[in-house]
Amino acid sequence: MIILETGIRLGEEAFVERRFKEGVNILFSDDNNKGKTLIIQGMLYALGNQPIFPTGFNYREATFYTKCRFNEVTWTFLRKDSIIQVHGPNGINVFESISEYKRFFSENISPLPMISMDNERKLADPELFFQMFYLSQDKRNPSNLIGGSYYRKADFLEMVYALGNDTAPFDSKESIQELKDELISLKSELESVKRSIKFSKKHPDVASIALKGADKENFVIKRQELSKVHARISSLTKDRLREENRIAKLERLSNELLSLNRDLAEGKVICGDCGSKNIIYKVGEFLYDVSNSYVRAQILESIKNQIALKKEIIHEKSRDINDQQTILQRLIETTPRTLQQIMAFSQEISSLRNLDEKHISITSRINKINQTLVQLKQNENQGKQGNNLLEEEILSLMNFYYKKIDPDGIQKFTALFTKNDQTYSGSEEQEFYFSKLVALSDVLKHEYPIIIDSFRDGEISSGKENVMIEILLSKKKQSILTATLKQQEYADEKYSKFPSVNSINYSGHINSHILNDEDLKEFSSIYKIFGIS
Amino acid sequence: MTYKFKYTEKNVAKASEFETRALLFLITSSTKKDLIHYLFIDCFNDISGAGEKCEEIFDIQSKGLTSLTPGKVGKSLITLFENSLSGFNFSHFILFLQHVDPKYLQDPSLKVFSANNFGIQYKKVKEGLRNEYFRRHPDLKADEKTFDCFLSNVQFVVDNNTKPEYIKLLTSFKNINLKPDALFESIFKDIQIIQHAKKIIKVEDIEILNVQDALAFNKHLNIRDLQILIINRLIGIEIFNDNRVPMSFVNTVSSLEIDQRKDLILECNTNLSRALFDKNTKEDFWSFLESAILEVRENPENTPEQIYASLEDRNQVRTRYMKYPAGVYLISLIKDGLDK
Repeated sequence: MIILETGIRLGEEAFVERRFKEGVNILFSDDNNKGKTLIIQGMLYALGNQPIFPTGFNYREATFYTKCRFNEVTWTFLRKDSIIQVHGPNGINVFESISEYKRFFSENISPLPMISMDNERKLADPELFFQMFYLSQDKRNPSNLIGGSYYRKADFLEMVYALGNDTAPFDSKESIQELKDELISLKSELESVKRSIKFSKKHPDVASIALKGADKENFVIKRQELSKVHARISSLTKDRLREENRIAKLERLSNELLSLNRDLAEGKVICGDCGSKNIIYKVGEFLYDVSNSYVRAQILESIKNQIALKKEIIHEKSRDINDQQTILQRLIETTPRTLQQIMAFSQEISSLRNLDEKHISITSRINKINQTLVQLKQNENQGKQGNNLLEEEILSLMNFYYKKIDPDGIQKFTALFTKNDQTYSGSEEQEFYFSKLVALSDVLKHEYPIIIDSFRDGEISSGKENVMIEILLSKKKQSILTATLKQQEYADEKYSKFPSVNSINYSGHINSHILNDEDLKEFSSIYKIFGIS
Repeated sequence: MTYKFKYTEKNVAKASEFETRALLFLITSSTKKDLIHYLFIDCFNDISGAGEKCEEIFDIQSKGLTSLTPGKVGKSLITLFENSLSGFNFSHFILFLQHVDPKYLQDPSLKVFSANNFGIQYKKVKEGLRNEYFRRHPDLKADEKTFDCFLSNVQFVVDNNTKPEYIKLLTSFKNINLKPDALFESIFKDIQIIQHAKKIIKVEDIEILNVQDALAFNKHLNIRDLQILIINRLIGIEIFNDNRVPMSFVNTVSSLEIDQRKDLILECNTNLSRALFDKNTKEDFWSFLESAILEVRENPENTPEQIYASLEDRNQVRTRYMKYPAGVYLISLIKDGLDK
């Protein structure tokens, strides 16, 4: 996936960034407060991220957009407060909640991983998912996630395992419980079958009289089918009745309005001066009529159309009801007489043969379940192993990158999150984060760009920085970084020595005021795509 | 200083369609359109616009004849001219014409122009005016400069819009361009009839001391009422047109099942159509409509429910047809139409 454009609009000002390219992009400036962080945060907020804007920026009033390309398909995301609109090849979709949005995203744009939350399997929210490839500037904490308290680091780990480990065992917790429940109910059913077998053996005459030539299985199926058809007929009849009621109301209304209309036309007053019959007021009386004959005619016409439409619906329902009644008739006709009688009593009387078969089938199902439970337990263990292997792979890469950047560094990463009491010095935290994001990208092979806001935080030296850039350049994917340069570096045109880096200069922006009125025009072209004027 | 109503239409005949066009031009396309609050019909001139404080009058004379010589053009300026000489503050003069033969104009493509555009015919225009003036007032004097000065202030306008175009310019409403022309023709007719009704009120020879006094004769229209009229008609043709839920009404029905929603919309449309057909309640309904439109305009961030509650508090919900939720439904239709 590559990010093509992003923009923000607040009031009558906007800023639009269209200079992103494939490969490494660096937004830089010679000073702080040039809008780099705002743009990056807005870029991800439009895609569904949690808002982590600085206080003072009225993000609820602002509109954000991001345009990206997933596998040859371009998607544009437009967000204002809690409403996200997505424009894609199928048109425009509007979402009022992150739940709806992420479901759409996962099904139509790019699949999101499932994790267990509150005893349910749910799609991971963007705010968790994005932390796989996006590091914000603020609220950093190597021992935990960034931002809200809904997600814990265990959820992040579960997500990483889900993405990287095919032998995902976490499904099995629910399945195991379900199977155990089924086992219990099967065992009790087995007991009741055994009792019935005993009864049948004691009273063979009763059993054979009852069901000559009819299977118990067919009996149950037929009964289910009949009740289904009955339910369908009843629902259709209800719908039809509702529409009939509505037609009755509309026809009454139409008559009422027609008679009111007639009264209007029957006025026998004429103007004393000009003889006109079109008297609509006397001096001093109120002037305007609340409708004219055109509007009234239109209303009556619309009501007629509504009635016609509803009559059509009723015809359709009647046809469907007839069809269902035919099915019902056929079902009843093909059922033997004795069965019809028995269905009225709905007693469970079985032939001995059937009971035996039932006994066999239940027992075999029980055995199968037991086998599955054993298998699942094995999977769980295997899955756990798989997770450990995955984590080891990621860590070894993290340490590899760390050593490349900081050959003299003394840290050794042993987990994706540090312990609560561990602190990193200056540049080490940045190196930790950088290595983690690149390692995750390598191992999970996700398609998203690596986005790091302020990637030189912690006084990363030029040498280290260059290594970081080289590493990113070697990856065949987009990355977006921001950096605030020292005066000297800025004057030396630091990034010009990396010709393949797309360096974007933000120094020209007014401090703390990146939005301007010229970019407003650019933003309107975005609105046009969404049919907003 | 008084003003005497003279030369009002003594022949009672149906108001010509052209005068209605002139009226609409004045309030939709003239340079003073945003200042106009009142429209006086056949008082000071065919149509005269005035602001809320009645401090200035914007005058328009309509001449719906297909061919006018420059001399006749000048002659038809007489009332405008006399008004400019009166003590009242007439600040804008428009002569609204159906057609001017291109051979009389320097630039025939212009639809709005000053007297200069008559080029060499300017003299004839002035002559026509002068002659008419002295014909009416043989005993008065007036020098050339007066005529020149007046003529330099006149705006000549050639009618260039269709009836639907004029009506659409009166108010902005969502999708107004998708409505059928027949609707706008019917609204034009409504205005024409009202204009005629105002016209036949006799004020000939009555004297007034200032412009505000003219309001007493009720020979005027409120621009706001015209806008309400149009919104009323636009909403009228939407009733029962389809079964959709208006955007701003969605919250009110969000807790209902689909079937209950259908029945609710049906009920709202039913009451709204009754309100439009029942003459007995028209004043209360108009009052509700007026208050609702005002509130939607002034408080665009309020929901229809909030606006309805506010109208209830102010006793604006007097007709039974606008009881909850039909009143909220109507407000939603208005809000959907007026919101940007």
